[in-house]
Amino acid sequence: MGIRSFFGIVPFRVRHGQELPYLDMRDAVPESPVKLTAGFLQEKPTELREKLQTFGFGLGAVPSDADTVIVSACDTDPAVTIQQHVFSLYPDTVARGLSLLQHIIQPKKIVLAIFPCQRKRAVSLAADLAEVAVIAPVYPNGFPQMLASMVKRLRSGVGTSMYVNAERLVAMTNAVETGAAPTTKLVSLSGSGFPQRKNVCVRVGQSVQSVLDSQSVDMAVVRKVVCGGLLTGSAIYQPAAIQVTSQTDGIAAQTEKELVRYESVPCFNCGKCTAVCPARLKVNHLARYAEYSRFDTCREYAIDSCIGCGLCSYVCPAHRPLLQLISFASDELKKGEAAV
Amino acid sequence: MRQAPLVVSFRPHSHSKADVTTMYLNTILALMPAAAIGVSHYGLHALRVILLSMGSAMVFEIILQRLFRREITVHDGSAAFAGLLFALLLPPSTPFWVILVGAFMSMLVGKHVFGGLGCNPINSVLVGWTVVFLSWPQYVNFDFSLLNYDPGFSTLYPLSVLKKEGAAGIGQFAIKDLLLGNQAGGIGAASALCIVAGGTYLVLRGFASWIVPASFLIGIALCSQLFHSVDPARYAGPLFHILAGNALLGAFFLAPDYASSPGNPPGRFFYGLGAGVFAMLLRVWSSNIDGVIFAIMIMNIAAPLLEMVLSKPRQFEKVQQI
Ligand code: SF4
Ligand code: SF4
Repeated sequence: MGIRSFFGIVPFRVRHGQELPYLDMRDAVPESPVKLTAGFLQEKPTELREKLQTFGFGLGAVPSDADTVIVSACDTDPAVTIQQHVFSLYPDTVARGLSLLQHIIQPKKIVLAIFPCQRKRAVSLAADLAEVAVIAPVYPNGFPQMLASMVKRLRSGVGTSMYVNAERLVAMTNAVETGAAPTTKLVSLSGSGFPQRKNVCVRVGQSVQSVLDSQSVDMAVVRKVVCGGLLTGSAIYQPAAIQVTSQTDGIAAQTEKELVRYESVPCFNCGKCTAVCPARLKVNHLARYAEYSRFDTCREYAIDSCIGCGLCSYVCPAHRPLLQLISFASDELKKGEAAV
Repeated sequence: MRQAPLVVSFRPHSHSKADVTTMYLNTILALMPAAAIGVSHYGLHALRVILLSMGSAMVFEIILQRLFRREITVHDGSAAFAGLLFALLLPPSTPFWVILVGAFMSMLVGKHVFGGLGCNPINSVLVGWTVVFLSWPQYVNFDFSLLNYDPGFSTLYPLSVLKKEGAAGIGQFAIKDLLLGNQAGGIGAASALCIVAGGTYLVLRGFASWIVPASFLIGIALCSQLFHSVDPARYAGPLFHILAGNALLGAFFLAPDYASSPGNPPGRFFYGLGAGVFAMLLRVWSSNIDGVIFAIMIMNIAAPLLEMVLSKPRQFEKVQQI
């Protein structure tokens, strides 16, 4: 138990390290990216956007007032380190990506959000293309909404924001330069089912089971397989039938001792969830109203502000399934809206 | 080997490992120094009160949960904690049946009629204490109940001396004695240092919020300073008011009770501040000698109101993801 979690000061830090020492770099390096100069600057922005759209990047409706693009090398889950990893593997591609963004979106400002350990690399690479924002490596600071509001606080006058993470920016740049759609994905492996924590590069479309097998995971002891991060991912039932997609940031194989059990027990009002909620919601009340199906009251309690980080469930000493209740209520509210 | 089916559940798939039992056991641990001082002063008499109160609170919890057909949760430590806290408010001479009635009342009226742990609007310990205080004031009156003891210091209750003789009379209570626990009063309320140490432990471990104790003490300090500067001969200064009586026990253990205090930080601040100010007003103007307990109960009732005001959720702007 680290001294910080012992004293309960910072509930959960996103793992990051100087040079990410526990990652096996050899497995992680995908086929080497083609070295190109930024030739795309000669092409028309609209054509480039359309081209990227066909590769599956969300560039169809660029808001006309887009004045900040946040490029993030901050990971969005404590068990995931891929953004930091990509950023340290391909700094040149990220730099070319910055000029690509400038070219096709023409925002007023590009902000490069990084964790403190990447500061040197980021500053030298951003040069005059982007401003660097150093983000504290604390969950859920890597969330796009959190980054947007933190960047806003750093610099006044920032309007509509767009967000792209380092991995996607690299894929985008490669797609423009080589004309090939992205086919690989970096995945963080965690959980004691894996012999060792590391990031691996897998093909998009490969089954989760094949990733588990390639690491010689003993399926007899694995009790839960999670696609995505530990706080944000979803548990899957048939790893053989689920494919790795471009959203699969992590795969966790948990054994018996790591299973979390939530119970339908009453809240004893300790206030930990309210203290930890980044949206400053009254989570205990919200979850109670959700539990008793009073969804309209949930709306009064600003259920829409929840960013789904799951910290409330993470800290609750009574093991209440807070995020599940809140998600249930917001789904019901959405259903109600759709019906009208 | 055939593989067992995988578990599927909602996220998050990780937990901080905090649980109710750990929280209450740590709170009990934090009260131990204060209890030890009481036992060292009054010997087995104090130990008798503490054990009887803790034991009976736990037994009553089991009985009541059986009666109400609820799951028996005595192992979570909340009943033991309530019993311990109740004992620390009593003088060592309290008769056993008074303790039993108090423990029963705090479990029944204070806790289980409202639905059990976390559902009570008013601190359950204080409910039990109030029943005893209103029914048999002679047993919880520190002026008489300590006469038969010789703990090695004055058995005069500092706050009642203050009430009768004004600030002139309190010269006999040195600040050092109040700090170290050489003052008459409840078993666990004597030593300021021990209570602060226990409370600080809880805050540092993250089991209690620092806001309520801080604002409670700020309330007491501000209010007593006000009175003190109006008439220094009649009203004692802030330091005396904080160190004497139940003020610190109230600040660190009674007011921050999870169920009956607001959960949002601004609400907590005003809750503590209000309790501190009310405690001072009751100490100065009411016939009660120590107003801390009633002040906390008043603010308990106001807690749902405080919870509603003064906290705005954060609105995140829309971010378009590429
Ligand atoms: S998941 Fe919980 S902690 Fe996170 S924003 Fe939503 S309510 Fe707040
Ligand atoms: S953390 Fe759990 S027990 Fe504590 S107030 Fe929130 S919901 Fe209630």
